[in-house]
Amino acid sequence: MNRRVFIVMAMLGWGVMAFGVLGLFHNSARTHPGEWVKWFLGGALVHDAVLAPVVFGVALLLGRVPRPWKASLQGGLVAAAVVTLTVYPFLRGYGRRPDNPSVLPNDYSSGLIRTLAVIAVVTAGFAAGAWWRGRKSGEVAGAAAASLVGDRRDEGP
Amino acid sequence: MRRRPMVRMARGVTRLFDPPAGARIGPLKEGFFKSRLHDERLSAQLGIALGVTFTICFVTGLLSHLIQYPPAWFTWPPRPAGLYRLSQGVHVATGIASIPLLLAKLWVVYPHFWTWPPVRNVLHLIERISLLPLVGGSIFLLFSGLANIGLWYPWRFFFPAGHYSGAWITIGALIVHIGAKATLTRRVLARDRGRSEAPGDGLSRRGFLGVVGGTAGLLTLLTVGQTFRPLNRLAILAPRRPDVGPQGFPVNKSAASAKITDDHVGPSYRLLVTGAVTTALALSLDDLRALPQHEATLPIACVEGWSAETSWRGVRVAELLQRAGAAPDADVTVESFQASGLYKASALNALQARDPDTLLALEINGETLHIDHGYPVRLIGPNRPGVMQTKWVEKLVVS
Repeated sequence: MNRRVFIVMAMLGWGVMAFGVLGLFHNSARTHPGEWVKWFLGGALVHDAVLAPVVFGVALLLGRVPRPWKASLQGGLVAAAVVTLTVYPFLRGYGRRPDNPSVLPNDYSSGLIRTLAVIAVVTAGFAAGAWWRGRKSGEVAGAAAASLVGDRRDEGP
Repeated sequence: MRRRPMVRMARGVTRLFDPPAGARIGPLKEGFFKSRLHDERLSAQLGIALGVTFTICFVTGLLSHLIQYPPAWFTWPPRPAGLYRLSQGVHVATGIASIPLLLAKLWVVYPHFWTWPPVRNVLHLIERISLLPLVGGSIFLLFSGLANIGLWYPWRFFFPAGHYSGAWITIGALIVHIGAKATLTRRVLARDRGRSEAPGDGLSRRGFLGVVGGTAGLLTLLTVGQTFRPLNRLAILAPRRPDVGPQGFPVNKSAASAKITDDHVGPSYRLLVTGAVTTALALSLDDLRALPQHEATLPIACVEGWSAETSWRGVRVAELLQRAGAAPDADVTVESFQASGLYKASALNALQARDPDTLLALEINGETLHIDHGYPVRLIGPNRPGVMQTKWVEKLVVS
């Protein structure tokens, strides 16, 4: 780190943060700082304490997947999980209201299933490609094959 | 004697920078995280991408805030008519595309959370403390924004105010982070150009970037049709469809939730033009229909990122102001019958009030307004957020 650059940027950044905090308290009738801070910090807590460990758990399980399919499967799972997480609030229909059917008008479970199906097909395509190239190059099994695959077996998180 | 506590504190701080090696267990151990994706270059690339998307969201968000709460130095013009639609559509679409970027970035850098020693010196301590508002704020902004476009409010604060304060704090933390990482980022990207993949049998760096970019693209493709009409048919995951709702476009606040009754909009309805005028007006619906009618094709562009373009017909606000004898540079407040709330009234600055396309609309696509779209009279003007296109208009107050 360049010390001088950091000190200048840190002072600037903390100034901007202080402005945000002042606004938060200045406008406390609307921001409810006590409630707000729970949501502001809660996201980081949920990520570090729940989401990240779950991802590492799944990554460990994937350690057993045979190598031609592993990279594709990882990629497919990442895409599927992120899309599901994003659509989840719509899927549950939290914002639906009886007096306004134009809110959340889609069938989100069907939309999600169709999206996951597309991801599955693409994943299978990549896996088949890696397997095919691995077969062609014999024992070197995909090392040079896809840019998706490398050649070490002791992968943990 | 009086300095002793200071000395003790200084010793404590020094101990913080030099913790006992025995405490280095579990994920704190060197080499605990083995994936080749916990990589400096990936981290730099994702960091730059997020720096760009968060800056776009911050600038467009700030603009939307200024338009809705204009300070004295800020005048938002009525032209180009579709600018707000573009800017807010970009705000929401960029936010959605940032979700996979942020999750990927957090995963790539996660081992740094367990860095050893936890703090090396005072600057490092400041850098690490600033990560809390950065990570917390980034997740908060994307989560609260996503919930808001689906009209889900699981918290007690007012969303725009909370999101706005959160944005300043997050951007401040981002500035600190850029200060800490700019040199490293530049060095890593220059050093590793064309570097071959590290060994491993899982996803490669390039493969991972492809997956993250692909996911961002897929989410965009399946949601952006809520404002970008050509992709409407693909918008199967969007919280709104621009063609779904009464008279073929969406509603944000229904007449029922605004507590509009026949007392307001029945035959006794009169539109009032009052305030700084020479002749106050009280016009029935028939009076309004007898005035010169003007047609305009304008979008409703919601802060939640959807938009729909429709043909409107009604009376020019400028025409009414002229008939009432308002000054040519007068501002106007448009007030609604809707039950109290922040969006009960909206402001038209002098430029907006005089724009020939700023109408009190009586019809949509040749039909009388649906009550949920603001029957009998709603405001529609170019280049305005949907929440400021006031429905169920009770009066224009000239100032």
